[in-house]
Amino acid sequence: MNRKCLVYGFWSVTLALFVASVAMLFLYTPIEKTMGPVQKIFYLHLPIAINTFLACFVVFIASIGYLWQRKMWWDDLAFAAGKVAVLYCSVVLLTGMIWGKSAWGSWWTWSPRLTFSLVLWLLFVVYLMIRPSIDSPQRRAMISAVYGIVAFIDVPFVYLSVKLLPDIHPASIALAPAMKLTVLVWFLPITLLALGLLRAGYLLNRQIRTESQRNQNMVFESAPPASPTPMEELA
Amino acid sequence: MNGEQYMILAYVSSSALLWGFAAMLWWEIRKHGPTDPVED
Amino acid sequence: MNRTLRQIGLLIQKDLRIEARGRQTIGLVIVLGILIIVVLGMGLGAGRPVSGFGATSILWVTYLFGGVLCFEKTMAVERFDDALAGLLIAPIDRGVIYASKLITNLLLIIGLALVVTPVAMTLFRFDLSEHPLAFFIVMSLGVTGFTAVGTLFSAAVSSTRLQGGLLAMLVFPLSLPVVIMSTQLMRKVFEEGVPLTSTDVATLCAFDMIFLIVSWLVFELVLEP
Repeated sequence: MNRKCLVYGFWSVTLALFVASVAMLFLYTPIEKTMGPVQKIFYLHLPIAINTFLACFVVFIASIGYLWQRKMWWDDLAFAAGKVAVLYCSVVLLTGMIWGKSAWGSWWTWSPRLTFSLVLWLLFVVYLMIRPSIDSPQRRAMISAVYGIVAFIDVPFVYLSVKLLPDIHPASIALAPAMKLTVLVWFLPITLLALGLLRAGYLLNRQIRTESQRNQNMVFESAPPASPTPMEELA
Repeated sequence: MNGEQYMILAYVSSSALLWGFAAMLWWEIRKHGPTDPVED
Repeated sequence: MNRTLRQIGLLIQKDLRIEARGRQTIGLVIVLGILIIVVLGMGLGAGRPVSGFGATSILWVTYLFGGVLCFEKTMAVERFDDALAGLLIAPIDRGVIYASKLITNLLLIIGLALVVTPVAMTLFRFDLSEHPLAFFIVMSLGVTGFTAVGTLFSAAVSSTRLQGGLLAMLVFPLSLPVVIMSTQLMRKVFEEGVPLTSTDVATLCAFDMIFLIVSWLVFELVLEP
């Protein structure tokens, strides 16, 4: 009961903070002079992007943990983190594309940052996609763990490679104090949401694994008794 | 569309994605029932 | 050290002898590469010469698809008659198996490249004469990194039932940084006339080194009969 209260409390706080951040964005935060109202996408974009990296890092750590200890819960954690990473990276791509459409008039340009998000998204979507195609749970955990580690090591190289593309992005934006405060406030609900989703996804994976193990046990238990072997007949 | 509409589009679609995913997880967890500890 | 080298040499010899008897992989891969080039040529070439920048993307498509087939085949050889079990029992380090498979795969891809690159150059009228050395360095470093990742995952995937497509799904996204890097470097060299810097080469080398080391470390865990 106590635990349930805690979970409900956590989600209400997260939702309330999210709503408060949206309210702050519209009522308090000033509009950036050169870019206009579309710059306000930034307050969502940046915390989501940073949390994407954190989720990828959790995949990396959990993958190492699995290869080290060979405990299935590490795999469940890595899978949950992979889902959060893909979800957050999708939001990064989406907000980035909308911003690009407003700023440059096209939904997609091969600018370094957009390409970087796209490659990162592809890397971790593949992580989720390959899992169902491997039947044995041990092999699935092992291959995804190796993939998770290599994918994370890949990220800095993706960054270096996209830097070779021609860039039209603004180098950096000077933020007024009120804008900085808004970014900081936005970090709260976004990070809490990531943690909540990670925990919920982890619990769901544990549930599914429990069920599949229980089903396996039932198959063993309900199997017809083996016919007596010759030795037993003799006895 | 002007800048403000694009901004609102970004926030609406992102919130729908994020909270939609959260609701989906919640639904799935309820469907599967409580967890027992499993042994690896 | 000498002993390790001899073991690697023996294993490569074994793989190459199997390949030489059947000539299944290299023939298949070369024909596939030419097919890809013909298909791309219909849409992209069509009478216009293609710059060195375009050349790298087209060649990468053939190398990627051909490479994945090579990786699958060199590991599939070990699946027959439980040859892998014998290899694992043999008193050799797992790193030696990785090194030998890596070099075999590299040799096969070099074989593929030696045929497909001139064919593509004729069909597309590529002009690499301005910077042939830059092209060679970038492509060979890129292919090495791709092969390092591919060899690792070919060992992981070959034990599962579902092989078709899975290896490509694993290796393509992980090789994207090398592909992007080499195409962009070629764009700089051939279109903007900027010479290849040592930083560019060092980045590609770093990619190769890190993936060789990681694959070598992880290969032992991946290889199960």
